[in-house]
Amino acid sequence: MCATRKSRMQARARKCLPMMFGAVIFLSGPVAAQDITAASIEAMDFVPLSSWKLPEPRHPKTNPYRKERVELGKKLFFDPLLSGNGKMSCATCHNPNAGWSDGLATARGHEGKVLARATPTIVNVAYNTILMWDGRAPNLEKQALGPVTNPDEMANTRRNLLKTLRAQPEYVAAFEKAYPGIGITRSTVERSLAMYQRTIVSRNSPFDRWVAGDEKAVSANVKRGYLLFVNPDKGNCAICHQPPSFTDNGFHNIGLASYGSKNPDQGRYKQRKVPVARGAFKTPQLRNISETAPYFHDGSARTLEDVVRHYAKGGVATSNLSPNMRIGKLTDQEIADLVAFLKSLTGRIGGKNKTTVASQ
Amino acid sequence: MRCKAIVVIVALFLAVPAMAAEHTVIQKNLKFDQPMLTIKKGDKVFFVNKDGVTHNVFSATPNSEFNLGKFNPGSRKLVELGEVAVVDVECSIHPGMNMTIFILQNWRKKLDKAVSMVTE
Repeated sequence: MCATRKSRMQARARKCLPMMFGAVIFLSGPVAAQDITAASIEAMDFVPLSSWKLPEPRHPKTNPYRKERVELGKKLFFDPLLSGNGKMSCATCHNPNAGWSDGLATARGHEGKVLARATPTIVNVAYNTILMWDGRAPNLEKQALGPVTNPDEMANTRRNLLKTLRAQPEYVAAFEKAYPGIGITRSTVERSLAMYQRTIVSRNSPFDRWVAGDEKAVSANVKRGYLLFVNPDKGNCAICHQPPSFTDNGFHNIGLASYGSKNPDQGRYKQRKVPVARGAFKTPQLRNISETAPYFHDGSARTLEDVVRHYAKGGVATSNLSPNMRIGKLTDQEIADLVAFLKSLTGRIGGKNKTTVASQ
Repeated sequence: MRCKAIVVIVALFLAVPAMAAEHTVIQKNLKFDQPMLTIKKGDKVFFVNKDGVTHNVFSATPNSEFNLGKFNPGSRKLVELGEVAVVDVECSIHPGMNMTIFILQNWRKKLDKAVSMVTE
């Protein structure tokens, strides 16, 4: 009994040896990039690489995946008929050719009106447990008609939307096929739009391939950048951009210059009257981020390097800085490595994503 | 045998003097370790942050409002909840982290009532 346990322990120690060796190399001085591997990271006390493996998105029980409904959702998403004046679709701002955002600092809505906040991408929105910069929508179904009926955005009304759709024989037929016996209702429009958005998924970026075990999927800079991203004494980015979808679904004031203006956007405070929520905005997910410049809720950072430099200097208007924003000193090389890491998060949209939590 | 065990458990139960009990709720991995907690009026509830992240535990439930402010990793804070109520607790930084505390006047009486309802 005792002998077997001993030999088992020896075997385990032998298995651990290369990992321990890796850790010693890391701790004994600057790491040569070729030494950074999934195994050497596991041996460190950082967020392990395996925790970033992104599962297929799940469709909720109340809105289970159906192919016809996704197709219908896609048709609605790209159709300007949904707006009050027939000129804007969801895709006007969530443009697939601009990373499912609009490339603008802040959005442009009805009749070109410049809005207060940037258009968030809908890439990987399926993984969010709370939506909008201020978290005012609990799920995609409840969010779907928000921009459609907002007078500053698509400027339609629910009644007019349903009336317009019901007047189109094509939609009547498509809804009947997708929702037999129910047809065009507020709920079926919301469910279709939500379900389609849950299929806009990125989970095959070079970084994702590295997570899956391909050590050659990313460059040495990216690997160094990853260590800076998760190291609490360096970038400390993963404290909010948590695995696996690079968000804590939380709200933070990151000390943007705009918070120092006369009447700053209070963000989350509108929803939760707690001091820490003043000027706090939702932590965005980061996959495909290289496609969605400019950055931050106010579009104040032009490039990813600007973003990293903002954090590296500890923010600008810091009167209500998030207690979680604690960043170590970063050299120019380290900033470049972090940017290289962020750029490795961009993948192709698509793949199978038909998982439903429970079938009905 | 089983009967004896039950008698012993019940005896132990009754032997506990009627005093304010202490409860601990742990914050870990952006979650509270218990989604629901039932306490007696006057009991103490301690919150402990075992995450590497700063939290902000608060409640906006009318007459039971509290805000524990910036709640750093490793710290422990006390909440004394005076009134009989159902109190919703949330982290204002990570709203997915939420729980409910049920404060009862005399939870043993309520428990007895619940047990008798089940057995009937």
